[in-house]
Amino acid sequence: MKCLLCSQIKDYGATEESAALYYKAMDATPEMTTYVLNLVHTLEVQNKYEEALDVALAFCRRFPDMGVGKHFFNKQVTERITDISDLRSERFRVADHPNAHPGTRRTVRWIPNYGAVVEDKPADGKPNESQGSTALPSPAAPSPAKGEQRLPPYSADELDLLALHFTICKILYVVGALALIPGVVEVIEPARHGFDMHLTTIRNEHAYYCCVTQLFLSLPSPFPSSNKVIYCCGDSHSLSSAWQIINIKGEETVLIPKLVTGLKCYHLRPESMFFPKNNFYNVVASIPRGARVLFMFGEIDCREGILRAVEKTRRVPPLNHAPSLPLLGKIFLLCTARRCISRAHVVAFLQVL
Amino acid sequence: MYRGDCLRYSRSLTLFTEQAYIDRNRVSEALKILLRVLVLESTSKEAREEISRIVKGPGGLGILYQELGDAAKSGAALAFMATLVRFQPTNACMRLL
Repeated sequence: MKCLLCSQIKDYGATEESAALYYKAMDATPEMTTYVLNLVHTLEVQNKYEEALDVALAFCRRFPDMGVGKHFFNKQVTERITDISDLRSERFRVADHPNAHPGTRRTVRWIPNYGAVVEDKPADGKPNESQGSTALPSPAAPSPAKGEQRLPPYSADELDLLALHFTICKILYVVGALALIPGVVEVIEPARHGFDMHLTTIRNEHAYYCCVTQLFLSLPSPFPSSNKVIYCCGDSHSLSSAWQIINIKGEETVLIPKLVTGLKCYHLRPESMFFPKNNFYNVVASIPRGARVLFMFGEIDCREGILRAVEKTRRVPPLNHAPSLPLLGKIFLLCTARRCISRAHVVAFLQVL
Repeated sequence: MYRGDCLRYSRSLTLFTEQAYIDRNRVSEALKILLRVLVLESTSKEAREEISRIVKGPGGLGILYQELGDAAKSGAALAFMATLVRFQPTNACMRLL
């Protein structure tokens, strides 16, 4: 199965070669943050999260005094991320694990119109959610007038560095190293306070960071130890359900995210060669044999962008564009027929139309 | 006109994928032409597609470094090429196969 997927992956975007070129670019100009950021994103597409984190941390260690404004420096971030030989270990989630990370006793609370605050978890386990809510500007909302925009006073390099740290948080969340996140948030959060980060070039990284910090309060506390898992394969919406516990026939089951950043069903159509398709096959190939998987794609297709796409006749109208969904169906059939995935469920979002 | 001719010529050099990779010189020449097209017109979709296809082929990265010459020591040039091959769909590959 993996060979089959790999042969398909090769055709969709030259990400292996791209990563090799970025590595060489970093050798030539080691201090360029933008190369590191791009390499990290390319490794994400390849589903190589551990390698991506290694690259980001190696850069931060190499330039410990590089920082964002006067808010923080790289060395403060690397000091918070240590002993990470097995990022996916339960010791980063389960507080009563024999070798639990101290960060399992801390949490992040999102305060509307302020941002993320790191605090100790209460002794009774469940954090107070009374103040918890999220109030970020919608990506579809019009930008404020020029005079009212609060753009951060950072250089392009500083913004890229901040994006790198946001991405570190995203990676830690995706792989389940939850206990490491509060420490990083504590360091980098002041650099974004009061600024319209969604109007900058790093809006996507910022959006993921905010998503992660806002989801923190809804994580199970205390986090149970469980061998039962369901993989949630989807776009950024797969993070909403990530690391939640559901009860199936009396057994606590962990929902593990299998993130395919920015994938639209449109990208999975047969003629598409765009790199998110590469990401999709890499992620599916990483799901263990016999696993149970929840697939959830299609929401991004249905956003406001589709109206513009139809206007520009880039795409056929949404409901007719659904041929992508049968393609998804074929992939699931292939997976189940080969007994690689014991049961596949599809969550389609077309009903929002 | 010049650009179109260059693209057609470079494509003819690598039209038969398997044979082209046996003859490394032909691929090198195609890549050299494509890089010139890219200098003249950095947004040329066809040139980007063809370059991606070549770079993805056997020994493609080596040929790219060779054709970049001194530019292969420049972080900016390498990062530009990295971004190009990462984002560029390689439809041409499927067309030829």
